[in-house]
Amino acid sequence: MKRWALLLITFAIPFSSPMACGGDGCLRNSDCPSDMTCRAAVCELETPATANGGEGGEDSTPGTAGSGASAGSGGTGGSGGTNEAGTAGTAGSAGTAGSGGTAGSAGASGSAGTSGTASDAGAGGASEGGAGGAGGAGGAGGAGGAGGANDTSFAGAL
Amino acid sequence: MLAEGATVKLWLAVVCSVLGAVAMTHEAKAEELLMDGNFGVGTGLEAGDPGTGLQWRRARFRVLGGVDLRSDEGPADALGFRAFVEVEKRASIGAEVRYERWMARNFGVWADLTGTVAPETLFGGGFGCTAIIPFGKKFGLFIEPSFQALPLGSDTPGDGVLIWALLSAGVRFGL
Repeated sequence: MKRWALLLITFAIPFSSPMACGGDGCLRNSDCPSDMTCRAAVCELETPATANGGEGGEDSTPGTAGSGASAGSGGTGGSGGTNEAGTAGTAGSAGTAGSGGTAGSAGASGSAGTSGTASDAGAGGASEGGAGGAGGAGGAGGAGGAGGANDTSFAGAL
Repeated sequence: MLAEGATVKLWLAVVCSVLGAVAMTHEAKAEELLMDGNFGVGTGLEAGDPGTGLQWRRARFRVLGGVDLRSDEGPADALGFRAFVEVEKRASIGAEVRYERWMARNFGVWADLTGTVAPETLFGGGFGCTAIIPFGKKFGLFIEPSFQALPLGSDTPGDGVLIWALLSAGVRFGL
């Protein structure tokens, strides 16, 4: 019985050691998962540089696309004719897809501008032309749609 | 006539000598191989420099088994084979071969070559001793402290040396 107790104590000592087997750090490569390696007591990916670089490139592309889309805002309506309402501005054309942007989608076409309100006849007030169609939004890298140019017409001369 | 008598005496002496020599020889006995089995567990301390200075920690818990082979003509010398599995974290498989010198019936010292083969490789050598607490003629408990240095393989910390200071124990039985 005494022998068994001694044996138990002998084996209990290393198990109660504060030095954990591995813990968060590593000492051997086999302490880490199979796709990682032990460097400076820390598990790291075996091929860290190339993967991160690729992700960085993708991040930069959508930024460019956003700027392209903003260019697609519709042109402001032409100044209204005196009597006739200005015709609505043509919708901005959809932005073309940006080059190289993998995630970017083509911008949606701008909505048509609302027609300008007719001014009072003879009043000579210049009615304001319809607002130009909004440019396509979100085209990845795409050049923004050109703003719709309003036809401005002049209704009755002053 | 006289010459013939001398010749007969000579032949008689030769025959008697041969017969005497044959009669004195013992029956030749074939060399017999003695085999002991071992099964146990072990752990201890493990050290290495992964690039941040020497670090010690508790060694992975391992389960081991093997055999010791000796000749009955020289039972003090033995050749031992062990296989072990480290069962903490990622399991690894290893083996060792050792030369044992038994200083007494229940105490021996040894030197070995050891290493792991999967999932990473590790090779080195070391020394240790074995003490046996007998329980009967063919059964006993063994306690085995050892020290190993492993400088080779893909599992070394920062291409340095991995050190094991282990204590193993288990059962030993005659086969």
